[in-house]
Amino acid sequence: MSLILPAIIAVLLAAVATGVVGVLAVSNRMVSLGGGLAHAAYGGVGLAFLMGWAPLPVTLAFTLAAAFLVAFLVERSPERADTLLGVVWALGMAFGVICVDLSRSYAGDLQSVLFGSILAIPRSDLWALGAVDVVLVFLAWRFRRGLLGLALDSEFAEVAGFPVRVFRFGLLAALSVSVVLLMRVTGLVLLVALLSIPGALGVRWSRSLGKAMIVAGALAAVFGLAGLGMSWWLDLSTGACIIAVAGAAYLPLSLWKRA
Amino acid sequence: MSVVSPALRLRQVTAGYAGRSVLENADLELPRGGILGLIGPNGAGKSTVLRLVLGLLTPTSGSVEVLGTTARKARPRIGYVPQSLVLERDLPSTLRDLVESGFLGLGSLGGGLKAQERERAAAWMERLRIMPLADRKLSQLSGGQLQLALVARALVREPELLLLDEPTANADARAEGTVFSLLEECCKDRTAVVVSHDIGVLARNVGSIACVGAGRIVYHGSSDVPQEALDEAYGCPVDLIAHGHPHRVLAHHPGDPCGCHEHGETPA
Repeated sequence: MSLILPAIIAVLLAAVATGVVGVLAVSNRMVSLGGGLAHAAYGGVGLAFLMGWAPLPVTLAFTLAAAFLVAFLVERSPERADTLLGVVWALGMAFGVICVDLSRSYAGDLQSVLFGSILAIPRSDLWALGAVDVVLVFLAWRFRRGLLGLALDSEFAEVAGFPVRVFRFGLLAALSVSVVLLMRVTGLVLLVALLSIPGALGVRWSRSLGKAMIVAGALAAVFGLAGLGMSWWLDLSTGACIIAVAGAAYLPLSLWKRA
Repeated sequence: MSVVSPALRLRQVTAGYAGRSVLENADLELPRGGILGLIGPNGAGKSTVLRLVLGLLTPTSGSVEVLGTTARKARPRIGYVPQSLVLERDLPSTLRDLVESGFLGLGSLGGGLKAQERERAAAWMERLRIMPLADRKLSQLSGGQLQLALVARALVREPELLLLDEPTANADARAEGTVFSLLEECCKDRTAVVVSHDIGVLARNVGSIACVGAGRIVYHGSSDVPQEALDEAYGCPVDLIAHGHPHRVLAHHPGDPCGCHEHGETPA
């Protein structure tokens, strides 16, 4: 029980962040960006491993830097956004792999970064997840109409004098922070499914952004707990079980007509 | 005695995209009040004029003055109605949310609305006869209903200048009538610029017309545009055909690769 309780708490805390950020990512067509950042974050993990630094702050700083690099390049380069994202995604991972190679240390622990390790989540990560949840929920409530207006029609928002750039950077920061903290749950390889599936269903079944976040959060909790139970009883990888449950639920539901 | 600045003043404006000029040394001065129709074939530069006025595009040379100031500074006094295609209709939002998003940028950062703002939005929805649809999801609205909601979104800002990009492109005759009768009513004390490639719609609904074509803008004081001006703007012959309302359509001219005949209305 002492092993499963922190994991249950982690699933529930992750569901809150997933609900808020997943809906914002789906609404603003940023799901691929989230997946790309999750992979680029491995560069931060590798750097922390090489230098012997604390992994969470280094990975967070590295992921934020990658997010703003993508935003800068998309704004300035004539290349397509998905091409630039693909390059930053691969570059981050390559950097992480090289850092791990250079360290010449045993890198067995890094498997948990790739595929998640919710059963071994440290208490400090739970506190960090809880704090991020509080901030995300507050910001989503405080700026609910602006976030919806931006997603609906960003050009109108810009013409209306709304600070579109500031909000876009805010969304990027929220996505980066969430990606790093949610990595413990599913691992970076599978994280994109956690960002997209509950968010997509929440958006589909709701009439307001707030309700979509609640629905997405509830679904993330159900998928997470079901996946956790499945992995516990069948002795399988937790992250993969959570995504398997979410994916199996989503595919038939995706065929249903919109509400 | 104070002199009122014009609603729009473009002086010797050259502008375009990726090194290609769409407008070259174009001039336009639009007095305040009334409805201007901006016509021209696809790609002639109608949307470029709108983007210049909205401050979304900077001219490579020349100057753009909107309501006596720069385009960017004039933004809070402008109401913009884009084509409904730009909207993300699959989001969890209702027609009311869309109309109320018109208050964005007017002081608040997108939190809750004040009671008087809610009342103003409701009043415009009533006026445009879309109040019964207020709580319907955007994905459940027709093109015409959505277009009326976009007009309401712009009008809740109480703008001095309204810019409408193809406002009746997806609308039926009733919605078109609603939009233009409302514009006529509203534009006693404000100015509207309506962009359309449909000469017929504009000719029967606006007070003056400007033709955009071949890099230039030619302003006509009334909606009765000389035949030669239309021919020049569209780069091909334009015929006048009447059915009910007099309006113009582009003549069919086989072999013309520009396919200009597609721009006009189909005769009944």
